Amino acid sequence: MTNEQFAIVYKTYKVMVFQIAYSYLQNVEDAEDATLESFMRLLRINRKFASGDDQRRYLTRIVVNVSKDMLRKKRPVPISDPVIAVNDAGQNENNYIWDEVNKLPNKYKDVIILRYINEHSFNEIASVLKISASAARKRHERALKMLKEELSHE
Amino acid sequence: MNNHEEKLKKLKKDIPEYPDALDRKVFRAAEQTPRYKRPGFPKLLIPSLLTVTAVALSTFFVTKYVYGWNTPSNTPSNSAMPSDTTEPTETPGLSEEDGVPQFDNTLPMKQITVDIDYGILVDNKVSVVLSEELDLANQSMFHKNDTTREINNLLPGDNLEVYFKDDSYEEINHILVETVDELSEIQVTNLVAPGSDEMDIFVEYKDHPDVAILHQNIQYVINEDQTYTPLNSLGEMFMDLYGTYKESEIKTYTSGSVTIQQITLIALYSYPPRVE
Repeated sequence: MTNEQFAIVYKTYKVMVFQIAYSYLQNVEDAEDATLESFMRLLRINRKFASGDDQRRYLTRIVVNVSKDMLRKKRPVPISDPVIAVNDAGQNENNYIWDEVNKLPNKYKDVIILRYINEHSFNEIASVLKISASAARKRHERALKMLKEELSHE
Repeated sequence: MNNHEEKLKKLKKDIPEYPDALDRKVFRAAEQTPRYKRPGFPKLLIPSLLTVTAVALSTFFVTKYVYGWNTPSNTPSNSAMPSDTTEPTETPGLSEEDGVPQFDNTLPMKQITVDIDYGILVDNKVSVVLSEELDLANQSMFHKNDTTREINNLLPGDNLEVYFKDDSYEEINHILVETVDELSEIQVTNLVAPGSDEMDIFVEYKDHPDVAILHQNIQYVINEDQTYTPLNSLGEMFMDLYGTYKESEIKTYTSGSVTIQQITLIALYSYPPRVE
């Protein structure tokens, strides 16, 4: 991939990559690092893609993995960190939902982030996660059910 | 349920805007990032092959129309009939014409001998033993079918195919496993298998970003119980694996101002293999 080709790919997908990274890491600096690392991996792999969709899925998979890896390496932070408290009520509720999403087991969290942040179809989610479309749907249903149970406790 | 879905959709609005300052950082890093060199057809080989092909075609036509078809070179023929017979060769299936072996695809293959034992050592480098004639025939066809004489990571039960001069092929049925005595072990981390129909595994060597790791032909991770897990069905995308490679096959190349060591892995293990 030449620098010019890379520039096009970067401009096309940078927001998507950053949003996925942020969804996992919940921190701008970490999301920046994950974004940078994801694009560098794409460069190093130096692979030709059959289509733009193929490249998008590939990059999605990379950023999901990079973000998860960074999460694993990070020291665990208490979920209900008082520093996060925000005045705005709506914002506070969103923080709570983020917390619940992040508490989901990885396989469910992946589906939720790809579905609602990345706006992937189930087929695309299936392709990224290398599962069947029906499995993606099932995980989505279970994830929503888990979230519903948790959120209704409040 | 829909209410919760609406709430989830709103989460996207919480995500901060893309930091523009990151652009410069990414482009600067991109300039310094080495790209893996994918094995390809050597460019210098193409003109060489064209020359060889041109010479071969000239020889063919001169032989056919000037000296006559199938006429031994050391006895100039006064006949151009294609039905003229050649002198019998000592090896069945092989004839000589102008010193070039002609393989007619009838040589019998030997029996299968496959003895690949991943448990003892990393004896997974195998050499395909071809008959001399078949080997010659394949060498002359290397540009067409890329016959490999050394094959890594053959799994018991795998089939090998050897191409003959025409477009047919047969399975190789004699395989000799060599003991590899120059292996080194590394710990490979961050194995990423990005989703795609075509597998492409990205492997990093922990704390050594200047080491490029290739893993050509590796499709399986070898487990301690001697089972094999296909790379594309590994549960965790990031996992510590162990890779083995031959020290003698480390290649060094430069990409821009960066010097990179390129290691070609022979195998990937989910457990620390014993390397002697």
